[in-house]
Amino acid sequence: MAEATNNQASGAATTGAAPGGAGAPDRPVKVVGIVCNWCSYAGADTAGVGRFKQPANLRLIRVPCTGRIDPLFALKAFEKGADGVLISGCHPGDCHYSEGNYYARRKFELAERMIHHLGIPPERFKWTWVSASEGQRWQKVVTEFVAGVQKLGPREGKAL
Amino acid sequence: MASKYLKSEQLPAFLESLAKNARVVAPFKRDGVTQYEPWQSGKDVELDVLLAKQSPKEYVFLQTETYLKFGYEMAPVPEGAEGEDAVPYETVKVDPQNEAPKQVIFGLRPCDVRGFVQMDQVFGGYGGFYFDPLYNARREATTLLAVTCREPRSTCFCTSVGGCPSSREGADVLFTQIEGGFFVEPITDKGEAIAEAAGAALTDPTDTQATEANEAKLASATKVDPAFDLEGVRDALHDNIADKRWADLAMRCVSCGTCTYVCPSCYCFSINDSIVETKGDRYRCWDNCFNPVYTEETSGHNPRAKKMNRFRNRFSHKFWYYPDKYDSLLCSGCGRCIANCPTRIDIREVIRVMGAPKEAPAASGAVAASAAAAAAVAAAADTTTEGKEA
Amino acid sequence: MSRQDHIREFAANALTEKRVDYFIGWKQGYNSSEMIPAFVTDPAEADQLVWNPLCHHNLVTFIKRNMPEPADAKVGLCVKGCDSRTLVALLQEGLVDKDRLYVVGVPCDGIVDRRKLEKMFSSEITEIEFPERGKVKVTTRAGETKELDQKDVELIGCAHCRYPNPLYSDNTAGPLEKEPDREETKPDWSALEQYESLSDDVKQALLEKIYATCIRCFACIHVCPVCVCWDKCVNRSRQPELVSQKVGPKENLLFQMVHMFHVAGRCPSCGACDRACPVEIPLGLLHAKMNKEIYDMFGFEPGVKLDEKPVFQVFDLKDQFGD
Repeated sequence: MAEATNNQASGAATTGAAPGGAGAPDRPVKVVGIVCNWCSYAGADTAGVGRFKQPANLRLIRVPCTGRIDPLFALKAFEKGADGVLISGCHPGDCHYSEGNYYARRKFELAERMIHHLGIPPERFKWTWVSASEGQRWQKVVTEFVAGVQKLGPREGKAL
Repeated sequence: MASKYLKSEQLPAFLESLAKNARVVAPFKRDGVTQYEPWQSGKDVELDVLLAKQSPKEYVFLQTETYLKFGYEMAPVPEGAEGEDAVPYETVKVDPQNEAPKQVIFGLRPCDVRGFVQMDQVFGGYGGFYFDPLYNARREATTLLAVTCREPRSTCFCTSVGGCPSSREGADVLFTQIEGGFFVEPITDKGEAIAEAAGAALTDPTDTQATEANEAKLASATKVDPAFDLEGVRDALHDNIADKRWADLAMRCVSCGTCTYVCPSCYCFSINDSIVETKGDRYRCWDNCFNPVYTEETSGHNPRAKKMNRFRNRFSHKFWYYPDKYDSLLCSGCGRCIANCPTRIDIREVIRVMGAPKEAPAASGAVAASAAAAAAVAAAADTTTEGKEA
Repeated sequence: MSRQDHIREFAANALTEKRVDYFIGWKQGYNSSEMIPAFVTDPAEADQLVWNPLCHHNLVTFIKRNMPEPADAKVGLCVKGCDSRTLVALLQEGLVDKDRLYVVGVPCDGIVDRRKLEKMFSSEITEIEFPERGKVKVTTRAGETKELDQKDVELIGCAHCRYPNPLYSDNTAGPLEKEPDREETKPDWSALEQYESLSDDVKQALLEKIYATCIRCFACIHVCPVCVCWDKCVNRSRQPELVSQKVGPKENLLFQMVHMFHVAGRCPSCGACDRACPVEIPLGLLHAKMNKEIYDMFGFEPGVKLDEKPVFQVFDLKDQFGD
């Protein structure tokens, strides 16, 4: 399913050269998306089926629920060289498991603040809610986020 | 080999001359913490702090050392191939790593040098059977310029384990701080080469300077507080293996591994593969017997499950298993493990308690003290007058 | 009666009455400049216990999972104000058994940062005395002696301590210290300001420099009273290699972040990790930032109320995070 989405999108990939400053490698940015199976993954699918153009820089990782996402997933992605991390799941109140995302949003908020504390700009980390029917919202979220990361360019992280 | 004299002001120039042919590593103070770091012009070598936080072993036995890099690749299909030959297949490309840059470590203490001597036996491996090419290549490319200790710390106990603050064992050159500079004694061929290369920076010493150096050496040896009597420790550890006092001593241990990582002679490591997408590397990194998973088996059974077992292992290894195998101790008496332990577990206390023969009370400090002091002074005199080859 | 006498008396009584199998306090290490955890089993040995501003060890570490020996031992221990918060944090989550504990609370007016002292003298410190309250007398191996104000050489956290008195104890050693007005004075995070004002690039460069020196000895993790996974630590996982076993600035920082996130909501910034680090990495700054954000988000201070649940184990429908 994800492949379909990527194929759809690759035609219009916004992989322009990175203005990441002197010495920054000239390559398309890599963004890791961690999404819940029931809402955001399905939302991405909806966007694909609806043929909404979106950047191809996103690699999706599907997890059962945002409650499953450890903030360390994002940190590890940065450590391994991701240029941005996007986390998305069901809107509060819509969790497939009733309350997973209520726990998750507390963790993500702390994670976001700590990631900024480590000197990773806010543009490189985002967490949000996208439901299965919100194909257009998914398109908007991804496009805006990737554009933000693209603007900063590929990351040459010194620490993490 | 002729002794030399190096003026204090000449030290930067001396190091500069060494840096032409090799990487120079020396203790430097940064934010109040002294550590061995690569030397750069303009940095002042820190010799007043006796011991750097960590031993210099990390420059020869790297904390993370890559054995080889590997990657999966599609083999090229020969032109004009047909049938089975034309089917692409995957190969593994292996790229062994064996980089061993020339380096000179300046400012390490005789106990640090002794750590290398003790580790050499392990990586040289039982007459070469377990020979470790990476370690030995680095060791071969490394020259050790030791400096005699001036003010031993209260945690020092080199004289109790057969060492001495001015020991020449393993060192290529021994420096002794005297008035206005250093008394320089090249010991090995490597050391001699260093002295020759330094050229005019080194001058011939006067007789007074030689005497002064000898006096400094003797004085420092007497400043090391004797800690325990080595006699019978091995047998006592053997006899006391099931003793309840091990558990008492281990109570305040948190099983962290600091002692082993700052130790100049602890050499345990583990080997791991790390793979990202199609490329990876195989590397070794330091490991230690206090790691709860160090001895864990695939079955889930852990023969050293309790912290007391791991605690006992470290000291028994240093004073019993290793001596049995290699006929030398695995402790050089630097005392880093005491000073850096989060709860200041004292290896001297452990050996005093567990290394004392069963039934008999632990050797009283005074008796052991006088005997060890005499031995240390004798040893110091021995090394300074005869100048024996390492 | 001094606090030290109280501690000795409580320890001796508890051991005599067989209320505990052993009692954990502090005693002198290899010289008077070092205090170390003491494990007393015999009432007659209770007089080796001491109390002075060098008793920095958080003894709650020794009752966490896999530490007590035997595992079901009844343990008595001393806790300072900050230590008691780690104990409360463990109790909140049921990670220790209250019935097997006997807790002596020790009101504290500040702990001396021995490392600060070490940097003030070129020779090794061999003797530290406290001639009167608020004064520290240091003697070095070279024979130099100097008297200092205790306030000048205290740990970072002590200057703005909000809980000088233990929040959980069965007995208290002596009179309570003066408590600050916690309504008036909010937690102080001024130690973070300098770092926070840096630009992203400078922060990254600084972190790279700091974490390059980490040797992954696990002292911070094992000495942490609220870090309880012990031998099942994700940082130890080699197969799969969840956290790289390599040692480098990136890997080391991730390693520290694992620790930090795992104790979020439980860590009251007691500083045990800071003091245990053999290469003197200021780990406390990471944890202080975490606590600052948690306070900002929930108004929550870890380990303060016994009947509270850590913020990440509960949720509130009214939380206003995310968009």
